[in-house]
Amino acid sequence: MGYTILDQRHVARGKHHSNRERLLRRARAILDAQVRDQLKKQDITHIGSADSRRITIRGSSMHEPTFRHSGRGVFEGILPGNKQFNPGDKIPIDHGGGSGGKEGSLEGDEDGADLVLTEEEYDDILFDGCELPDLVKKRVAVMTNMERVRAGIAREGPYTKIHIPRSLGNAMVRRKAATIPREKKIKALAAEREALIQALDEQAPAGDPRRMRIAEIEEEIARLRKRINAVPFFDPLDLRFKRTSLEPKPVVNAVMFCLLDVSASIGDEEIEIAILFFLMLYRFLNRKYEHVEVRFLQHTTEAVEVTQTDFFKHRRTGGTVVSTAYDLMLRIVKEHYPLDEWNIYASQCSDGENALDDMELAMERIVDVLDVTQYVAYAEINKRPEIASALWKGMSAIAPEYPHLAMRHLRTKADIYPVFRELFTKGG
Amino acid sequence: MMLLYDSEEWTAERLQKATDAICRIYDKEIGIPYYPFQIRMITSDQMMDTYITHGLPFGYAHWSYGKRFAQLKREYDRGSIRLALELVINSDPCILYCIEENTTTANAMVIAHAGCGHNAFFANNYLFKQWTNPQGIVEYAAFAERYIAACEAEHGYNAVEKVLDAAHSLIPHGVHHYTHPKKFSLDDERKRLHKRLAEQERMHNVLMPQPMPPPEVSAPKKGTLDEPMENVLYFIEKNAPMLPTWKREIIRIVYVLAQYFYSQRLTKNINEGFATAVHYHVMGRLYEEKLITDASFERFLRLHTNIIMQPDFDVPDFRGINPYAVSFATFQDIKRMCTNPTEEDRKWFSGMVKRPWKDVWKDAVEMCRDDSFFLHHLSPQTIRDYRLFSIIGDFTHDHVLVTAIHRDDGYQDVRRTFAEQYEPNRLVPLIEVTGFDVLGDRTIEMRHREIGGRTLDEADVVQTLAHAETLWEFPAELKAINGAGDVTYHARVMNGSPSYYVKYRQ
Repeated sequence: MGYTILDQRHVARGKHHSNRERLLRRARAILDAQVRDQLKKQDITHIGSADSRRITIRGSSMHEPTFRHSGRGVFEGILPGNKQFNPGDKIPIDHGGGSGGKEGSLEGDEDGADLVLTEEEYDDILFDGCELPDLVKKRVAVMTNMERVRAGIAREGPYTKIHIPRSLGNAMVRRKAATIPREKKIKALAAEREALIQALDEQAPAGDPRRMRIAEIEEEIARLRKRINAVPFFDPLDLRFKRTSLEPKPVVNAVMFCLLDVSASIGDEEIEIAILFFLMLYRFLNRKYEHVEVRFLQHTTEAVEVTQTDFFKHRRTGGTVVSTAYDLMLRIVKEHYPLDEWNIYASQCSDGENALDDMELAMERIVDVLDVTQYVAYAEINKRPEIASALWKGMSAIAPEYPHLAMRHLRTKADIYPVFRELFTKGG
Repeated sequence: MMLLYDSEEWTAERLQKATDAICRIYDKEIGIPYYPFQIRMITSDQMMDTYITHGLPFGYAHWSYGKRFAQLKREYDRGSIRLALELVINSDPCILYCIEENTTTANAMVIAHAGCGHNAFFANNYLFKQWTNPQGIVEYAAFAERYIAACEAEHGYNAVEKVLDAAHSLIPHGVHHYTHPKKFSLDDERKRLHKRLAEQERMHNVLMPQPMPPPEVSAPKKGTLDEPMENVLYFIEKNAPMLPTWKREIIRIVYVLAQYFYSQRLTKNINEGFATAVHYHVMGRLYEEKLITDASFERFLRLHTNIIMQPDFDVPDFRGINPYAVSFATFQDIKRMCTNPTEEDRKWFSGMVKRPWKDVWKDAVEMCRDDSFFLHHLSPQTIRDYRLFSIIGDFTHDHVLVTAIHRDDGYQDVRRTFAEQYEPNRLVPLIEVTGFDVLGDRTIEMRHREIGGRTLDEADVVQTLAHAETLWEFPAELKAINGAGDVTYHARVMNGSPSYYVKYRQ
């Protein structure tokens, strides 16, 4: 009998994407909780690794209830593999976890699903709701990409751009305009004819003017019908096309300055926390923003700008003079980032220590920094936050006048993700 | 004769040769007619997509399908070939899927199994003839996919998800068992839709706006039904007083598809047994005629053995009766009994043993579903081979009782019990709509007929009632009534919160 063979491997249907998308959306709360838990336990340097992206979705939101048996009650069943039983024998049921004896399988394990999230999906969850605050300044760069945008309807255009609903709508309107008055006329004429026919039945003469009138009416009706049928379903005048135009796409410019204290006062553990914090920040910026520049500044008694690779390899020598970092940042801003076009951000990690004689200058400089930035995040790595450090004291003093200065403590690695979220969440 | 294929790397040409031979053998030696079929070559990812929609090339999106996809992928990665065999749909032309990663032999097996076996079953079995429309189902599925996507665009994901979640919970109770509505016809659906769309066009008429037509369903007149209605979704769709059209349409889509698959649920065992028997016969013949190599046949045998594996009950691997196993054995035993009957066979199947086995196969395929198939064909030999025994009891207690084993005095009972496992009301609790509170708060009233003290899972009952309330838009209640007429359980959900009038006795 007949058959055909079709090769459909190239047909990209990807239906599972829409199903998966809906699953992830529904399981969002579960995923968030799992990711957060993971980050507490695992080494944060492994964020985004395949292992960390392995998720088990299980929970009440995954349950699909239905009217079903509870398992209580008398069931009859069949089992294969009788070795020694006779009718009347009793088989004990092991409720402690053996499989045996169950006639139908219950749902138990089936309410879960194991997935491996893609990196994008993982980052979406990680950074859900995070954003750079107050990203307001936009500028239209000369060398930006132009963007094609929809710009209404045109009466002419290529056939690929036909706006079908509009065109058909116009056609419908035109048809109705042409037919409805005629239909009305036909209706009136038909009524007249009916009346005449009624009147005529009572008398019979042939050359009666009413008969002629009836014939006229019928001719007229036929003519009108013909005109109605001749109204075309579609007319080129009905056509409408989608119009697009090229518009320059405004680009949001932002630059994030990462300031890291690498002096000797910072211990191994502290610097690791700082590095991880910046790693997370960097990943977030890369994932969410296309046009954010990141500048890496390290300082001890002097500040220097380093590459990304070097930034994450710390070096520790010397004392701490924080104002040098602020100085360097302000210099770079002046040279490269005109304030009317750039949104400036700064994130600083430090243990809070600073050379005593530098404090006054540092505070002056930080005010300068605050004056040019949209937002400054200060994360202090301090195991004993109840003893306020020099920088903390200084910043707390000026904080009331600068609401866009955010200060947090980081005690352990487990704090990194929650603090990061606090610092960079909408409304946070 | 020349080998059909000399390599396990399949090509369209090799598959074609194999299919020609398979069809030739099947037509000559088994001969039950089937629809023309389409073999679609797909990747394993596509397979899992298609598996979610039960083989239909179209289907709407839902999070539960995402969950199933993840579960399936895990099972497939563990090497379950069975998934591949089940990917065929009841349609005309019949569509079956071959997976890219499979060898030529495996694909040949799939073609014999699904292209001839399942196909013939769908084309001839009375349940499918009664309840399904193979000519229209693919188009209907495409319509369903588009319609629900349009609803999502217009009303938002969450609103649609709510309706689908609720409708899904009632799918086991969204089919007609007994009453016979008009057979689903795609033409009727089209006419109905056209009528609905014409109404909508009239509403949008820019020149002559008309007043809103009255809702399609007028307020239901009666509170109690003459006969209880076992299709809860159907009842809700037809009678919910204030449901908007789009929600009604979605419920309708869900139960139309449920009805289409209902026949498959009731014939899972016999269908798989038959298709397995077909592939076993055909592949065996291909080997006898030296059309496939020793190595290919051995590969086939390994796959086949894997599929019909039936672990004993006391083995950790045991997961219930394998639908491929005992039913395949039953079909094979029919063959044996009709060719070389023993005294015992003549005693048990006096009429059958005189007939050619392929006629008996054909009658079974046409006229049986799972329970009736086993009731009339399960042989003592097969019961002995699998050492089947029947048990009775409450599995939440500490023991169950053995009632019959593979002995002369036990075969009848074992067979009866085996068949009754697949009785439709065993698989799914019997729930019916008895009416609704027309004078009061319009609560929809449902009843569970409790048999053998088999109670319902309470947590699920409450959640499902909440879903019923979502669809019905008024409260929903359920009463469980046992054989003596006593109410053993009575709960009602209003605004999502349950009230309990009677709770199960512990």
